[in-house]
Amino acid sequence: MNANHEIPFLQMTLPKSFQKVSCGLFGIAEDFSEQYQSLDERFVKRKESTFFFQAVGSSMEPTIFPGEVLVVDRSLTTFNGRVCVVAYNGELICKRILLQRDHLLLRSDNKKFKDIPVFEEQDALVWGVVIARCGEVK
Amino acid sequence: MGAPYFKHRRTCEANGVAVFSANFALYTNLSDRVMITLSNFSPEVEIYSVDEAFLDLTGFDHFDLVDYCHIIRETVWRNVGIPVSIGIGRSKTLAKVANRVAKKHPQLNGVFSVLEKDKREWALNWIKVEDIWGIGRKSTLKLHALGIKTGKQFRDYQNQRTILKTFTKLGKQTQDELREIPCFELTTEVEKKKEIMSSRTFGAPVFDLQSLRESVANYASLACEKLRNQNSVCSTIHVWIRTNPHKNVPQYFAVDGYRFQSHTCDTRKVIKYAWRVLDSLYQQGYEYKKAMVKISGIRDQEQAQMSLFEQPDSQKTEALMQVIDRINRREGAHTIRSMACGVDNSSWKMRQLLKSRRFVTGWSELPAVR
Repeated sequence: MNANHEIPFLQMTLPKSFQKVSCGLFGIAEDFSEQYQSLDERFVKRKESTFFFQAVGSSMEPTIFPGEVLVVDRSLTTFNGRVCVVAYNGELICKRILLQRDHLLLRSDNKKFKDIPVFEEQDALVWGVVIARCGEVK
Repeated sequence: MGAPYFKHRRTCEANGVAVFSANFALYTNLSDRVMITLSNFSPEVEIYSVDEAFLDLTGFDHFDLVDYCHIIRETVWRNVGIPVSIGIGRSKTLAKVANRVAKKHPQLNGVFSVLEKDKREWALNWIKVEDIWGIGRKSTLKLHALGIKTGKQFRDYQNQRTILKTFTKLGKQTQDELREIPCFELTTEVEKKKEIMSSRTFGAPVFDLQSLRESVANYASLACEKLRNQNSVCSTIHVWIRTNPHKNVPQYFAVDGYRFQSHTCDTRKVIKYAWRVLDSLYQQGYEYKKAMVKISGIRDQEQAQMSLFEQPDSQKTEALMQVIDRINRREGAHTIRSMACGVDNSSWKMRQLLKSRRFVTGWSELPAVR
């Protein structure tokens, strides 16, 4: 058997970054990305359709607090019951969508705010679905 | 037609025209998203420019390609919010003809195919010769002289000798492509740049040499970064400076270059010689509006020539450049740069006063939702 022959099964089980390690467990691998958890991996399922927004105002408390970063995915197609970013009357707002028989309701999770009914002929469009929220803890 | 905003500002303000300065970071980001989405629809995608791509759909024949492309269009719109038009053809040139048909006929809903003969004949008859990819103003004049005005007339023109003589090989290839003989393959590998240019128009006119030096240092740094990014070295730099041709002021334009005896990618060396050229070009009393730096004579790092008279980049230099690039990639562009580049509030910085916020490229400028 050739001394340089690599053992196939090792190549299949080790993650990419380990191939750069020359020997031993504590080699110098340049790319550490696979050894650390990242929020991106957890929350950004499809980066080309994921956009970030900043929440303003208290209409969605206690689900979302002002100042938080919202992770919004445009590629999702089911909205009923979900918190979404909606383009309404030329503005982007964040509300929970409830499908009714012949119209939509834009509900604020904060009970102090009224539901906004949206009928077909109105200028409203779902921009994307809020899949996660993120913010600093003071 | 484009026109400078400052000339039409009153009209825009009076009529409520929304005006935005160019936001290149935003465009690049959105373009990347479109390209990533497209890459899910074909194993071979050539990114032709910031807003154009070619997809190879060979092997997808069992699909209805028009339906498939409608799905592509809807997916891009849904994922990114950018509308696209798609043209389908057996060659790149024909695909672009089909694309133009789709763009100019909204009732087609953004997709048109010239795979079928009757559609192809119609499209080639509709398209004017100057709107065909590869045919510029000069060729158009020559074609008109030959009585060729439409794509169809160009495709059917029989005299091969005239075509080759008047329009050279490229003209012949364009004609072949219109005849469904593909001549241009998809280039999916990123080609290394042979020349790298860096320039900006100044936000406010510049009179003094020191400000010009600062701007040139910045452009040289940018160009060198791109150079190192593709593992290349360069042998020549050119520097241009000029006044504003749209303004009624004394005009001045000057360009000169310097050739290194040893290839380099060392920013410090490039800045030093760029300044030497700049100093020789500079004339006092002019209102400078733009400066440009171009590096050429680009070779792969391994192939670089060594000279007896000039020191090539030392290993220490290479290591230093690598570390600087790595830090800038991680912490943000220009985190580390030469002092030659000046500090932040230079008057020559591009005046993007009306730029839209860095919606997708900066955490501090996220779009807000209520």
